[in-house]
Amino acid sequence: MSMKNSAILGEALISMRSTGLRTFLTMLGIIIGVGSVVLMLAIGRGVEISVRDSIASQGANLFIILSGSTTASGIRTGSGGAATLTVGDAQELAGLPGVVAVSPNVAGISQIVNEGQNWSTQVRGATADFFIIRDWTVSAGALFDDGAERAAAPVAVIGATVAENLFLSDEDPVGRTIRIKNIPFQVVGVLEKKGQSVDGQDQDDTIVVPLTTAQRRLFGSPFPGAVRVIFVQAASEEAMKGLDEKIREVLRLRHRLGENQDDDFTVRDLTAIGQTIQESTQAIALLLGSIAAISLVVGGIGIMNIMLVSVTERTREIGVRKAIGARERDILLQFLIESVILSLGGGLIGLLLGGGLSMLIGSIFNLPTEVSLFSVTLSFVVAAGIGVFFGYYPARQAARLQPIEALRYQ
Amino acid sequence: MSQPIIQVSRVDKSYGTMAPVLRQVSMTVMPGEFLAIMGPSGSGKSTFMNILGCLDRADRGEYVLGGEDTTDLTPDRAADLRNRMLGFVFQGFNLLQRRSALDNVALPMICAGLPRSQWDPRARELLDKVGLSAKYHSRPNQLSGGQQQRVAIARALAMEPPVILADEPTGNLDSVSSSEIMRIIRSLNADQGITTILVTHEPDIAAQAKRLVKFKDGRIVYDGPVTEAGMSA
Repeated sequence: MSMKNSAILGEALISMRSTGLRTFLTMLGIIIGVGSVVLMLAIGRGVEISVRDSIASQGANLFIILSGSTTASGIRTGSGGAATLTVGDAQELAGLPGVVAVSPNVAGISQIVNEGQNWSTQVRGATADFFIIRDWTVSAGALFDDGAERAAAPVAVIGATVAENLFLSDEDPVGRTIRIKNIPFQVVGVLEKKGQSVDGQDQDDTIVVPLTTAQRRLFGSPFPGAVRVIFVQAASEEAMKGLDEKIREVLRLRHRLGENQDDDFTVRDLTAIGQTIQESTQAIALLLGSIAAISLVVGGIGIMNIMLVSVTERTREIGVRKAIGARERDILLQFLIESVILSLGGGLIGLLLGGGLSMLIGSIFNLPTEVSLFSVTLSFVVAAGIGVFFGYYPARQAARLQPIEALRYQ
Repeated sequence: MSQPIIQVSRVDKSYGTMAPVLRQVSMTVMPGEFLAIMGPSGSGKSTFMNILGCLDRADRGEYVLGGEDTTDLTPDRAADLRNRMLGFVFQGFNLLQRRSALDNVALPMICAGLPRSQWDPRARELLDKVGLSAKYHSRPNQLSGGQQQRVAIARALAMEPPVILADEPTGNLDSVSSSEIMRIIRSLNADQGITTILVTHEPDIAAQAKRLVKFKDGRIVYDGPVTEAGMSA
């Protein structure tokens, strides 16, 4: 003989409805806490996705090998200052196990002219594999192929930013002739827009021409086949492990470097940049997380406080209920359910608020924010836990009231 | 001869170091009796009622209610016993303010775990019986004192208890409502045979009972028929 749980739930709901504003204010701490947890997780996820995407846009599983510094009259020129890498190096690296694509590049800043318009941008000479490594396709026209590379054809694929600046919006750049360093090139394709790179550079402000064309007609070179950069793409993240060491071995051997000589090239790994960004995101997430945790604890104490007030206010009601046969469990559950509803309700509102805010922030900052099932589950479990933890003490106080003392209470 | 419904033997009760409130109180009530308990304030009658209602416990002595010894009841067992055996009518009505008359009457049945399909018709029937057919959904603050006390009586009857304990049931009522409430209480005793114990300080209320018990200084100083002599004892 004891109260049905559904009946206890009904009792709890009725008494909460009668104190609407107070109920809402009590929930506020939980709303803020859960809201910021959800927001933090959504933004963290968004940053992670966007960092991953932007690294992938520069090429997934990529090593960038820069030619080394040279010293002339005591002045060191820095990375890329000396063309110590060659097409031959690239061909040999292509033979390493785990390597799927290799593209040697030269690059330089040039003034580009199209009739009345001109624009200064980076001109890159690259093999056709460059587009595979960058996972880059055209929005109009076509990419150049190995044939154009062999023939050192005067063709160019231009980035979206360059297209915007050299051509009118209603003009089709494909098939038109532009001049790079006064040499005519035919535009064969316009690259798809990629946006900013991890370090904030506009990836679309570029022109790509065949490597051979660039070497012979645009930049010249201290010796045939010299390049500034070699991109090496590995088959997978696993294949990247140890590959940088093998690359160094091959290049040191080819460059005939002695035991005590420094490398005349630098091997870079973009995932390291991504890791740095993710680490700083995690630090921010941790900060937000601790603020959220504090807010949840404060919210929980708020619930406890209000529940204690509620127990005092309803002392007489508790006495009546006990007099007519309510058991301790009935009273305990009634108050416990009330505090769990308070915290769960706060959790739900916080979830909606955090989700809404993360969508808003996502659309303002163009971040792919995402409210995951994990954060939904987490916020509900935490909210329910707070309700039980901070509601138990007041509920027990209520359940243990002596009926005559409760009835005497004015 | 049937068993007594209430048997109190040599009960003592004191609070802290103050003078004892009840001293060696004994009383036997047979089913169907109608008792009035009187006495000046501080005489111990309220404490005695609390013990009869299983709301408080005697320090020493024995209290058997409906054949069950109440001396060592756990709080939950006491709650069950109150629910099954006793109906309470208080001076201040003690209705839940935010609930309808119907919900208030249903409360003991809800506490007993009855489903709505059982308590709803029963609560309506009880409200009909006390003449509040039109007030099912009224809240206590929409009802007069007399009407509130009738809701409380309906609530006390919900579990069909064999005993009704009424503590100054007319104390807060005007004379018209007061006589209406007393008419209902009398009929419960006369028509349904419910054992009724009521505490009052008004002689004309006490006069409607069949047996009078007077308290003074924690002892029963009179126990017998309702007479002039008993009133002034």
